[in-house]
Amino acid sequence: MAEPPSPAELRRIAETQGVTPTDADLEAVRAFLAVLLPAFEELARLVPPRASGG
Amino acid sequence: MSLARLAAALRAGELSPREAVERHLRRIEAIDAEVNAYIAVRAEEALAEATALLGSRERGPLWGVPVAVKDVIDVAGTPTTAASRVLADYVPAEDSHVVARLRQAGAVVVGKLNLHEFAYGALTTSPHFGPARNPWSPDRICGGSSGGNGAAVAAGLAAGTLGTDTAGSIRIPSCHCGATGLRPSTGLVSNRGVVAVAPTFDTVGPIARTAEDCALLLAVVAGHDPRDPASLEAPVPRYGELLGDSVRGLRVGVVTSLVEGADPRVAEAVETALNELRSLGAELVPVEVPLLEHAGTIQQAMQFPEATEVHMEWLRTRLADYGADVRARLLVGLYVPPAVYETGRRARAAACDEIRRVFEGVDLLAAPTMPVLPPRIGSETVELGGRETLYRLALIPYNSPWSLVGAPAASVPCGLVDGLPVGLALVGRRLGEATVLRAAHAFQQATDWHERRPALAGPR
Repeated sequence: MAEPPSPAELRRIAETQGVTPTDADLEAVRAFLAVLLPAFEELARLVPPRASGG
Repeated sequence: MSLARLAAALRAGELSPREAVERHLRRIEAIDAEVNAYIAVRAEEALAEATALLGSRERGPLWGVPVAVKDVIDVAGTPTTAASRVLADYVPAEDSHVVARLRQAGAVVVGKLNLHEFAYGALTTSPHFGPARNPWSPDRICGGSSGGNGAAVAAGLAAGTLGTDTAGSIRIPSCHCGATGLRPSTGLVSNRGVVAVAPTFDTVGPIARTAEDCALLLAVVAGHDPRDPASLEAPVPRYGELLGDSVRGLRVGVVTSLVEGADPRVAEAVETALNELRSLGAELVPVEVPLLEHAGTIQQAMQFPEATEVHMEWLRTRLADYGADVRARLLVGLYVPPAVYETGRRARAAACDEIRRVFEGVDLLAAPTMPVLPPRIGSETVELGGRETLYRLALIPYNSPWSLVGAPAASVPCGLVDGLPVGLALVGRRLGEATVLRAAHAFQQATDWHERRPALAGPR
């Protein structure tokens, strides 16, 4: 099951996009991702990409 | 008085546009401090506009009717705040498409309504403008994001309103406040001049007292706008004229899992309402909707990245100006990989196919609008199925499926539990607004839930 990235990793990803969240922001984001990432994984299994035609 | 009755009284000369506006301004002055429905009241402008209407040759269907719009909808010369500090200095120079349509129809915009910050949440507890309070119980939320609309309609502070809906934002406050609201098919109403949440799902729609009121408002604002690339070139039926058609023989698919998943008191009120529809001649058919349990995830896979994209520049420069909950939601979109968005698009297409198949056997779908009663302000959880559940998670299966597929969905008052309103959701085929409104109107001709008023609203 997908784990949310660490706060340090979340900060790094945000900063590469010019965004500087606080520690509290990152904790809140991790709480969302803890629910969302497994659900997104399940969805990807449910509707897998179509094999590209030759 | 409903919008339809007020419009008729104005046309008949029983009162003038200025008198109608003055009455509403007096009510706002007397009551709004208790519910905080309005972010801005355009008192002087509205009185001047109402006075000017007396000299107008053309009298449109909303001539002299005082209306209000959610504060994400531009009104030229009046700030659009989106209930956020981020937009504190934004004053649009031009009316949104829908406000221009309202004015052409003769309506007078009396003010801008409170909402969840940037329409990105369902509580309407803006840290910047304060919570909208439910007129039925002012210590409870109105729902959201169009919470000010629900409060204004329930308290009689506007004859009709326009809100917006991305994932339930018209239906939820309509349900919690005992109003009638309609999320139209995506693309039927122009979004030009409206602050976006997630463009794939956003739509403007009416919240008012009755289905007839919603039909009048929708007929005015629906239709193609060449300046909105997502606007449909679909014909707009005369919704008001179709209201009187019978519901006899209409096949209504009851979404069993959603009824069974609701608070039993809510489910009972909805089942009673469905029996009323049956007594009017509709045929009830139990249905299950494939992908229903995944609809929220599918929508979120697209909504999070789209919303973040809309706000990207402000996230870089104004991050601290957002309330904490909306800031977190917008930051989440930074971490949703493009592949997830693509998965969402594929799953959405599959869900649209499934819904089309469901509608091959029924004319409408029905379910509770919300599975729970509105929580107290400050509480973010509700009890559902014997467990404490996050309110924002409880609402998703009841609202996202219809947003996801761009279908028209109404909330119609259908009961009171512990003195708090319950709503019946009626969902139609894409562009099937006329059928939704017809069923809602037939129900309201046979019941009086839409006429119940909270004590706070006083005699009307």
